[in-house]
Amino acid sequence: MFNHIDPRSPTPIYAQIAARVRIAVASGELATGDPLPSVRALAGTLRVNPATVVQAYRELERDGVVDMRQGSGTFIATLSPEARGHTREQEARRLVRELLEQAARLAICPLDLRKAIDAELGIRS
Amino acid sequence: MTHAISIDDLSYRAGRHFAIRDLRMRVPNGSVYGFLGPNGSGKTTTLRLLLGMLPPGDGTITVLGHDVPRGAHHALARIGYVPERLHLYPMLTVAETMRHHASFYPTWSATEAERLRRTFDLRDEQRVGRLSKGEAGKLMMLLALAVRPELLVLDEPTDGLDPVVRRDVLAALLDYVSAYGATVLVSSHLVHEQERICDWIGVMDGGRLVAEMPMHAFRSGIKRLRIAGAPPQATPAPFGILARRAGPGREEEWVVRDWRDDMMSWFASGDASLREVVDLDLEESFVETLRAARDAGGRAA
Amino acid sequence: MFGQTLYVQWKWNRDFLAFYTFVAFTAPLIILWVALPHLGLSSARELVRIGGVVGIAIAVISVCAGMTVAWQGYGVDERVGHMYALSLPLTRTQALGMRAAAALALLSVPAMGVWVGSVLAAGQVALPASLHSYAGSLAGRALLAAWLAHACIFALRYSAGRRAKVVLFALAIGVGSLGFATEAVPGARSTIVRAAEFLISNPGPFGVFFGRWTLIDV
Repeated sequence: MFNHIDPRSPTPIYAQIAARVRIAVASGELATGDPLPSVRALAGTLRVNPATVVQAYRELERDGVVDMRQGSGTFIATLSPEARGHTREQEARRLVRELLEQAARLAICPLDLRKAIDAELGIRS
Repeated sequence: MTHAISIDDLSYRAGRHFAIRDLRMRVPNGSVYGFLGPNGSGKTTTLRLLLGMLPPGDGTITVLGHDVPRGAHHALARIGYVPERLHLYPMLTVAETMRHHASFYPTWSATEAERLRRTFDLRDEQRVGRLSKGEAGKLMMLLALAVRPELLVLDEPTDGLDPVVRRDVLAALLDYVSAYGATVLVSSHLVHEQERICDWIGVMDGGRLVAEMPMHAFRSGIKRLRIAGAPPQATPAPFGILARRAGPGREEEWVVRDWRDDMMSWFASGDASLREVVDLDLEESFVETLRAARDAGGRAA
Repeated sequence: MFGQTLYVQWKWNRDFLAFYTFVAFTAPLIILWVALPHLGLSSARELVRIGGVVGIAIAVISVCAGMTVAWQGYGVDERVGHMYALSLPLTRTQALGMRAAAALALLSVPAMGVWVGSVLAAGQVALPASLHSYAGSLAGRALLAAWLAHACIFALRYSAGRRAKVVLFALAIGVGSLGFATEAVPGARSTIVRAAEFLISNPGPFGVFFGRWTLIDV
């Protein structure tokens, strides 16, 4: 799950870690109550600064995706099916936000972007 | 004591010229501070001065609350040091080396040392002089970590090691940092590795520290902008301009620092238009910072 | 800490120490074996002659042992650029003190060799009562000579670079001038000779090298 952390990417490492967890939850790979690796273990496995892992877990906790329990570790929070759906919706909006940012950098106006989306969706369906 | 290491106005002469000049450095407690810089910029000299290994220059150095080099031996009892080259006695075995090292450090943990020895796959009876480069690197890291130090000073700890050994060494280091919250000062030219593990960065060039800030600020703040129609005279901008270069056609390439995305609106007024904002990874940010510092030095001279 | 320093110094020096101990042990015996067929055992003068040869041999061995241990001890650290020693949490005084103490302890081994060897050699010969302490005295002198030789080389190797060179240079100039003055200036010779005699005879500091190594109480 955590294999492809890219330190060179403009997305900060903590955001990449958090995104992985969100995707795993949204796809059902991680269920309520499943434990996440300890900060110590994940920092060692990914060879990243432990503060980065803590930052990722804290952001997930703030968004209600995980519970950090003192002494026991970090676990996926109780997510009802509606909440799970909500998480998927959040993830989709996050993806779109990234797309819009990239488009802005290339000075592509939203109209052109929408045309491109429709074209690609048309090809796929 | 919020800083594990404080250096002020440090100057040091090696022979005729200054190896270090007016150095000011702050390594915050609990941080993993990456020391970046080209060869010959004075990184190793700075590390050696920090540890009291060289006669003092001008200026003050405080490490873990102790003045160096006067109180160096106090600080050294709480420091784990990994030098660039193997510094251990070649005729001792791994076990003898560990026993020798342990006798000087009251905080040595025999269980940790043994655990690391097994993790690193080092055998007690191997002679230090016959260890491979990777095994030597692992042994030096083992000794530094088993002391359970508050501060780790690492000089190119993974340079020249194969990827598997590098992984093992870094994993052990980060495992220790997670567990004990130690401060780490790591000097390395392996920029992509520094990018992963450091949360602070100090860039050294020509004996001076040209940049010192949290890693995320360094990386996110430096961008390359593709600009069209820029006026030759630079109007004051909310960001700092490190360099302006000619691009294809009538475009210009600006390298800027302290950039925030909302600054895109500055280009709405005026003749210059922003074509693209390019993110730079640590290596590119580092190179651009160096170039800008050298150009500024050249212009000032 | 000291125990480990001693261990490292021993491990680095053990071959040399073994060599010197062996030589120190066998020297009295070999000299005696060589001399026995030619000399009558009862003559006191012959015993003194044999003792003289043994004394010179042991003096040379002890000085060599002391100098070697000092030179080699420094060599361990020199080989790794002193980085390890400098990184340990010790003051310079502590580090040097432990090293010197370790070397002094190690030099007792060749001295033991001298003692055992000369006891065995003395056992072959009927020694008069007043000379029964010969072996012990010889071993004691051997130890002191080794320590002094060690101290000289130790000071040389471990003194901070420039200062050492200046001191040694000054010493060389001083000795050279003395030698020159002895020849060139009339009357200087006797003063210098008397001063030198004081230094190298028994109460003076270098007496242990030049004093009578043969038999102490004769």
